[in-house]
Amino acid sequence: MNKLRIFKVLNSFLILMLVIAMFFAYSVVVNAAGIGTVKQTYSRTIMDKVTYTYTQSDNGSPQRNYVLEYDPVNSGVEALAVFGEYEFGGDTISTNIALAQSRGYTVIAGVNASPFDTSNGVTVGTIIQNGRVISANSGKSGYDSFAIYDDGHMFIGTSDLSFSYNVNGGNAISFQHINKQKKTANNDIYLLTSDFAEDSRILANSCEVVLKLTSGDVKIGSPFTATVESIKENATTDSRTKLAEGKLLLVGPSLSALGGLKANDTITFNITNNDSSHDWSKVAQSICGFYEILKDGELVHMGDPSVHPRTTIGYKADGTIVLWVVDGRQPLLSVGLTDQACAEYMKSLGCVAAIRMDGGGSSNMTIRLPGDSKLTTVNSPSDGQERNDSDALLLVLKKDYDTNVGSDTLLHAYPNNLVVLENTVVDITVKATDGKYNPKAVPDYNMSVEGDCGSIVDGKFKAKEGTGSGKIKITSGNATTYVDVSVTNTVTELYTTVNNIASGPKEKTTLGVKAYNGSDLLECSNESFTWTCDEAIGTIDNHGVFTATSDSGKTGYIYVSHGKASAKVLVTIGALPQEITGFENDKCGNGTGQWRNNQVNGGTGSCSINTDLEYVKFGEKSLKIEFNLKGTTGTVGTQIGRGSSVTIPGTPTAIGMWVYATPSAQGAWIRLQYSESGSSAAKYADFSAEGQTGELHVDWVGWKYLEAPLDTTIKYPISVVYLVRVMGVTESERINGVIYVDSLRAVYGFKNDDFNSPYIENINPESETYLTTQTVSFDIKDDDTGINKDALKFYYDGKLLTNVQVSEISGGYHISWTPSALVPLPKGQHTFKVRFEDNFGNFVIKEWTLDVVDKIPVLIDEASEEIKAKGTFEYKLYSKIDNFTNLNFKLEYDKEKLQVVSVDGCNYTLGDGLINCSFVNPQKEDVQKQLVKVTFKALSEGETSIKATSATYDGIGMDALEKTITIGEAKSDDDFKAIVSRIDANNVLTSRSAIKEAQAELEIIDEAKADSAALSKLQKAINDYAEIIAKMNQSIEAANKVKGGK
Amino acid sequence: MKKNIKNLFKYIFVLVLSLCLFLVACDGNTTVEKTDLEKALEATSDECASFTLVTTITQGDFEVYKETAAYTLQNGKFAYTAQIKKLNDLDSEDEYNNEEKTGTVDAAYKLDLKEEILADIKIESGALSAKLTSAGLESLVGSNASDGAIELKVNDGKIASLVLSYMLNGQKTKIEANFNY
Repeated sequence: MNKLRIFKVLNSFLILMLVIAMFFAYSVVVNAAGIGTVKQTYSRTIMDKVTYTYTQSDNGSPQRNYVLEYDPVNSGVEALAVFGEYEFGGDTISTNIALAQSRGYTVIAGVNASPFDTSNGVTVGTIIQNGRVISANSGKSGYDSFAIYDDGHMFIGTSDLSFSYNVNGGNAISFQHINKQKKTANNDIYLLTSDFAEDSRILANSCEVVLKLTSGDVKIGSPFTATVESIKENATTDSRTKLAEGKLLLVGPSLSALGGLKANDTITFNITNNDSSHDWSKVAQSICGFYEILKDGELVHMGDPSVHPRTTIGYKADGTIVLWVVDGRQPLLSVGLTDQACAEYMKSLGCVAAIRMDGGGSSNMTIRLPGDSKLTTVNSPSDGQERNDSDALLLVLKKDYDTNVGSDTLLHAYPNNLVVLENTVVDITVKATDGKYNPKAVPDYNMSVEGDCGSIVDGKFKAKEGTGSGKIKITSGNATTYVDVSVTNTVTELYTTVNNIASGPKEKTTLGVKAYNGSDLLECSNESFTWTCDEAIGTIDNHGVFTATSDSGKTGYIYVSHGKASAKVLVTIGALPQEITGFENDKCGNGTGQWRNNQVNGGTGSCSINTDLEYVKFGEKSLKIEFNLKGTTGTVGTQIGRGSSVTIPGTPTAIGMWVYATPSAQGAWIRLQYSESGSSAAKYADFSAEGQTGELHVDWVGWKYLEAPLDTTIKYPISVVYLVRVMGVTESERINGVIYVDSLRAVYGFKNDDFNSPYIENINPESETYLTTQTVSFDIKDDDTGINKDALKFYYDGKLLTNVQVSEISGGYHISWTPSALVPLPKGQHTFKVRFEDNFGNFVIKEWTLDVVDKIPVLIDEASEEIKAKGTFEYKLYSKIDNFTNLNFKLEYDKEKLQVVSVDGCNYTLGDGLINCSFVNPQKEDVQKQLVKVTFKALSEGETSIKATSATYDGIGMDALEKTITIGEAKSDDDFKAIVSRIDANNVLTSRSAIKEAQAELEIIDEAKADSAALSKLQKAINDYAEIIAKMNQSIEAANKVKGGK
Repeated sequence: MKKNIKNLFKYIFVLVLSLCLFLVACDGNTTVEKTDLEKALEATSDECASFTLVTTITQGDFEVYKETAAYTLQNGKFAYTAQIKKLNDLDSEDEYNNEEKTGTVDAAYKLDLKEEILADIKIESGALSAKLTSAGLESLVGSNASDGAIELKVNDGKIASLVLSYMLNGQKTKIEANFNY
């Protein structure tokens, strides 16, 4: 028994040891290089002794690594620290590159650099550019730096500097900061240069002294002098001093603290190096990082165990400098690494020292790839775009580098390494440089295949069926380059680029996949895989294009496979948005489920339920959010939630809401905080205008619909922690303001929204009516979802009317209301208000004031302004109202002076100097209706009149009217001829005005007596003009055809 | 304005094709490499960030029509603003109708000219400047067109500008395109 027990114990012990040994062995393999198992890697020479290497690895999560190595002494490039136009504020690497190039540098590559104060973009440490101190604090810095001497040699160290100045050779006065922002009232002294900002950017009252730099520069170990130009003892945030080239600014708490400076004093500055390990006075470029993670080949300071995108800079024993960016925060692409992993990988690359720079969304590597004239961001910044950073480290061509394009040629293939799935077609791009890697035009080239890997078809490489390996050979003259090719027919792991799809009915979606054979990421196309899907959700073709069924509400999976490898995608069809709340039954407070405010780093705010309909989008309530971020620093905010997270059912793709922005809210940044199933880690999303992504800053007043898209790879269900976060990182975002929020909802990818408001038209009467005309009517219409008839509310002097007549018309309803005959509308002003909405809930409130008057209807007359004897003129009569059945009147005129040419618009009979008019208006159209138009011919010069008499309106007598007519002297034919003579028959275009003038003149002379030659000339000019217009239209049509039918 | 940008590049293609035909027909000694032009067209298609299109129609020295349109790539589409000055008929109060049009056209263009460019067309490498005065333009603007001329400038491997002019019914049409990258 004992032997057996001993054997069993021993056996168990051995097994345990074996397991432990295997575990450590496994650990050693996975973590040996910090980045895990290498799945794909390729390198490319960017320039002589400058190499770029891309490596995809897996350490339990995917990692994408971008490494740039260069020899600072023997290569053609050198480092340059850049910080945008100013150290204050942030710039993207692209902006920094463009700026450097505009200053004469040829930029080959760049990485982000220093961590910075997010409230102002100023580095937290020491920056030196071309020997000049751009930004630093006195004393030993809390942040390590990567520094490079003029000769290209480098070190990682901690700056330890002393700053002082003396006035006119007097006692030394210490100061504390160079190009840092004074944010609070303190006793520190700041030296600012034009590198810092446009002005001092102080946030606390200060004494500011402008100096003129007279000798030297802001460099370590070399005194520089300046003279006092002007003094502003009480500078405030509203009266900051401008900074200018060649000038310095001393900022301190008081003039006495600055040494009692006065105009023309001579100031001598000293920047002293106290770091005995390094000669900072010889440093040409320095950028700041967090801390050294690899020192003398040993891992040090493993401060951050969390994984993030990282930027790391290090160097090897032979002096090679290594710049490395690893992507992160992108679960399917790359997750990011810890400090320790970073140090391990840098060590595995051969580095003896390394420093971790600013990372996260800042991590960025941008490179001029061989053959390109522009630079490309090779990594995938986790913000989805470049971030504005404090500064960057660029690699630029050395000043003596020969940039004249040589006749020799190097070819560069993209990609230059191909691990490909069988039958996949790959388009190989070829670029060219000269031998010094100056880009040049691509010459004609031939592409052929060596080995058993595939063939060239229509200029593209097609991988063979099955497995094989070989090279694609690209040649042009003496230049040759190769693409290494490995073909496989095996897929061991398969991933789709999205895990969930929310599709509208009948909508098409193209899917994508990533396939691996063991550790190799395969070049492949959708056609290489077998695609199927559940019948209920639609169909999918062999190109991976999914077509959703026409039925909403279906869910199911799309399946993709190759051999034994497979993946699936959850699909939801046509799920309409679900309202989380419209705030109709909500409360604010600290009770369960009630809305409340939560502060972020000193940002304050409040929320309340609003009932003012001006700030309500749907229903009768909305949520009012007040935020107070002004005067704060750093990342601040106010966030609105329900005290505990809210679980959203199903698989939403976005959270949507309506936001009413007030003028005070301009610039506000609105975000969402949520978490995925099984994790409490905060995830954030920006609310954006529909169809857009990324940060949105309020730039409108009124309502706007916003959506915050959710991560497409999340695990459902999600929980929303804060539905609205008003955040501030920059000064323009840290403001005080008010927004209103309505109709919070979960969006499932498919929407059938109607965001167009209904409208009102044909309000009658709208401003004035008569005691005899009391019915008020209007039409309400909606072009999308139609009018919700039941939601109509019509108020008369604040009282809701109940006896409203509603009749259906095209596009909506005709609404009318007639007061009781016993209680008619009294004289005076009355307010009418109507609230109506469409079937989606968009509502409109229209309010108008009606003036009820008791005067009888009136007529209005008018006549042509200029009346000449022998000419004709028009006399018109209008009614001021339309709401009548019959209107009769007589027009009396002097037949010695006037002759009727025509009468239009009414029934009439002509008498002796009299026109009897009768008008019937069954349509009751215009408010001011033209009743009649009479064309008279003026017979002779002098004054006369036209009288409208005996007017009756539905039997009611009306006031008579008399229009005085002054007939001027007849125009002579000579005037007409004179004008016609100005028409140049050879170029009528220059005489358009003469043609028009002659036409007008002809109307007031006796045409029969007009000069026939002038008449025919006028007619020809009119015809010629019409022909020019016709030709012009032909020419426009022809031109548009040339331009593509525009 | 309503057609998408693809048509503009089709137009460019037709112009260039006409140019090439003329060069071949009129000057067999001109040696030009196909690939430069092809790449210039593709680069223009791929990299054009904005362009202007000015259309002028004149009778004699008198300008009867002018359209100045600016296209800028925004959010994957070309947004345009066009100022149109058009001669009015006599019934109008004003001599000209001045109008502004704005909108967007789809920028999802990508020309594949490889099969369409004639195999034997050659254009010099480097900066390209060519000029055409040919009746070959007739097919573009109708049989009445005459005195057609085209100028095409290529800089840095991309089309910098393109000017087409011709006479139609006694009126001269000039279309100028300038591309920015």
